[in-house]
Amino acid sequence: MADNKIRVALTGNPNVGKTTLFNVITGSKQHVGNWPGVTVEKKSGFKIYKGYEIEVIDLPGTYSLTAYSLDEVVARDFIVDEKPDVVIQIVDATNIERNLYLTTQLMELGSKMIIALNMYDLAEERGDKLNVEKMKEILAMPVVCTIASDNVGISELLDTVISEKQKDDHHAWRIGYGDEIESKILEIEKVLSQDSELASKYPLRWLAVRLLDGDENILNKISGSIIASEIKNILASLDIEEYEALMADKRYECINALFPQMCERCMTRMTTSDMIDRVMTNKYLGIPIFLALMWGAFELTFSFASPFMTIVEKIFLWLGEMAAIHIHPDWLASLLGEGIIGGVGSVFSFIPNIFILFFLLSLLEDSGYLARAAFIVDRIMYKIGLQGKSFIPMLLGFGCNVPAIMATRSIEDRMDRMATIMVLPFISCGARLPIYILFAGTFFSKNAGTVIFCIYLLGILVAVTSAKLLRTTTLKGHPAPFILELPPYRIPTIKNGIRHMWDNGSMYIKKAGTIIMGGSVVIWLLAALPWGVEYGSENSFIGIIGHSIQPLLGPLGFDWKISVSLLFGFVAKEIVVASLGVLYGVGDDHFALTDSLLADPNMHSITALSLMVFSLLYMPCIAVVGIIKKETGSWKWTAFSIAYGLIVAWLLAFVVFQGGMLLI
Amino acid sequence: MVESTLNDLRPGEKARIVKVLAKGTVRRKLMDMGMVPGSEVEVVRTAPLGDPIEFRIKGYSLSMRKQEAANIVVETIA
Amino acid sequence: MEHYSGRLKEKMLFASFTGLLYVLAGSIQLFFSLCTMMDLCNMSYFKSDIADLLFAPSDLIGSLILLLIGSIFIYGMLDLRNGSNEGIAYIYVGILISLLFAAVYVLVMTGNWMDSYLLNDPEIKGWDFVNDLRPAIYLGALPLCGYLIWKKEFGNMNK
Repeated sequence: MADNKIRVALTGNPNVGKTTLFNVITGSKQHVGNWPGVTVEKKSGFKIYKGYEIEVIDLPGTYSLTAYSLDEVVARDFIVDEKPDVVIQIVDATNIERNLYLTTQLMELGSKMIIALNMYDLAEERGDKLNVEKMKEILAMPVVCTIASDNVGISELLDTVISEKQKDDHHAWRIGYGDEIESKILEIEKVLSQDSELASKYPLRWLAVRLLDGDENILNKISGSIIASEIKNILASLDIEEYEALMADKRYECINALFPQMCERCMTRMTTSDMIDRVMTNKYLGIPIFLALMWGAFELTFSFASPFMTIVEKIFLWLGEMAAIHIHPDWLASLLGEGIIGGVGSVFSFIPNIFILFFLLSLLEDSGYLARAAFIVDRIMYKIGLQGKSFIPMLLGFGCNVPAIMATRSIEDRMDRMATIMVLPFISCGARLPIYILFAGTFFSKNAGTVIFCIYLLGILVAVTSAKLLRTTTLKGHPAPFILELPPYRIPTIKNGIRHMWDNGSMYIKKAGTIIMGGSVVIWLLAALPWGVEYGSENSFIGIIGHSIQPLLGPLGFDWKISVSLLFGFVAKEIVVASLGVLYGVGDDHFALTDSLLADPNMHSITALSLMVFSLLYMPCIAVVGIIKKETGSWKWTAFSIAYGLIVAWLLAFVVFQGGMLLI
Repeated sequence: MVESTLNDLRPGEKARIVKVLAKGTVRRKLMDMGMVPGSEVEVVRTAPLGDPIEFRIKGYSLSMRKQEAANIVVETIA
Repeated sequence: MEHYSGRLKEKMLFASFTGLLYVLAGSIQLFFSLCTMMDLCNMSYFKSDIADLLFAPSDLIGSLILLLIGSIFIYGMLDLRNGSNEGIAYIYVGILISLLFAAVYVLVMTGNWMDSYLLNDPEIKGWDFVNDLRPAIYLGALPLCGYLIWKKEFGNMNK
């Protein structure tokens, strides 16, 4: 690697301002992707500084590197395998003690390290006295004070990066684990050194420490080595759990001994953050405030977005018309207009929702309220097999399932997250409402409101039951332990919000977009072929498929027209109504559709009810499928979600229809 | 000095951790967050619905469910 | 915390006045939106907009939010009267949340305005500024004054 190139890895606990620092350093030169093979987000960026090309890699925020979670494995593997030139740990100056725990583990990885003591202004304001010189001396590494949000200390930090890179060698402070453990470390180190390949790749002391810590990830790493069995024998003779606790104790003991020399903490003052918390988590006001804020976020995401969605839709409608007018032959115009432009349009029509949602989520998270929200509702969510952080996605689901599924990213535990994603499609989104309005309005005119309300309730009920069911079968086990930091309240910055919004919005276009578009084109082909049929009519492929699956849906009381329109519902649920209009030959005329539905001998109130139940529960639209694939990173889970939805929908609609027929 | 578990303390009470009974990942997570023998903990408040509980430890706020707190043996300090 | 106590009386007065206004406005709105809902039940559902019935209790919810903001202020006032300085926190959060919701309503209003004027959306033709003017918007002037007056005292987390 050329001498003027430097690779820097950013690490640190969550909530220490790592993302802000990353943004301040790299500006707009960023790349967002995934770590190979996993769904953890990878961010990297460049900075040209004093003739050096500095590549910054933002590692996932973690509390430690014990491989407790995927994030920790990703962060650790990067440092060990890729050997960045310098590792910067961002330390929250108001919370040095716990942050140092990660430092003790990072040091063992053998990289050059710099501490960025972030938000030191807040610590000083609180009355803490920081002794930075002493800190440098004790930790034997550079410490730079920064206030990332105000752009303070950044050039000092980059200068330090350059000077560290030029240093030939570094000696790190290391933790002594006491005679007994140290002798074991030496013993294991000695065995490990017999494998020269291992010795050249990893710091051996670190490997030995990790092995004594019971780290299975490392055990797998060395399993191919000639000394694997010897190591296993040594470890088998020890009580690893005991060692693990002892070593953690030692690390904290060490921190406890050194911390008072670096920082004098002011304990007595009650901070503004504490005062706010008193109100926000107040016994009586806490829940109403929470609900009010959630309603506000919901209202903004879906009401404020509506004009922007209309703009997007109009633009694509106009493009489609242009295609129809100017492109010949007709089939090409239809493919472009209805298939491709329609498909792109349905991808983009979610953009306003998603952008606003992620902007608001970022504000909620950066302000520190998101953690409190989880704290407040965890009790209820735990009862149904989920956890506090599942609540906000479920709520958003009533607007649209797509942003809701994206919002599950705040749930760290994979099992909890999967369970939330799997039950979300049962939450009735806004696009299903037109179907209910049509059928409830036509067949239950007096009680339409009650019927629709019951359908919504059914959705919630199925979601809750499914969560319970999943937790006892596929995703067995209790929700992960809820051990959550409640970071101090801070004023969120608009800049961070916009960046967060942009990152996630463009991610959505790239990843989910392709699937949504592909799906739309396939549906178009099915509706337009074979050659020369009327679009979406009985003789088109989709009509033929509708006919052929009708026997399957017959027990639910659906004829072929309903079957076809349900197929169209895969594109987007609101299309069900439009395609029924086409099939009944009445087009867009709502009242004519109502009349023809009432006149159809196959349709009556029980069919309508069964249809509403089926529409509520059967496969979410293509957009949701696309986003499930993107967020779970697995076709298997995506397929499961579709199949499970279809089965539940069929069963419940069957019960409703057959039960209803018996009662009449 | 009375020994009890962390979930039994009332808001405002302080205690020192004696032992962590949890196993496996819960134990590891607790250690990562500073819940180790010798640390001082203060109960700040319970959530509006009575669970989880918010603690102050090592100068920051941490919340956990009662069932996790029940695994932590503490001695109260006046 | 000593410096808070200086102008305690002022704040108590502010909190009780603002709180009572919000509660009053909230109660009136609650009453009327409940009446409207009752009335709707006797009408044919399909003619009235069912979406409105399901989601719109925006008025009902709006009234509850007004009541909530009012009670935060009054809670703070009572706390202060009992000699607990924590009441200040309630006033601070009350101001914060009332301003937040004023902003939400203003944004929703802007959205509706854009929908009708820029796009000529037939659904919301005849949009009128008055239709979207909510108590939460004009009452917001009061906490805004409070915020401007006490900005410095509350503001040590503005960094």
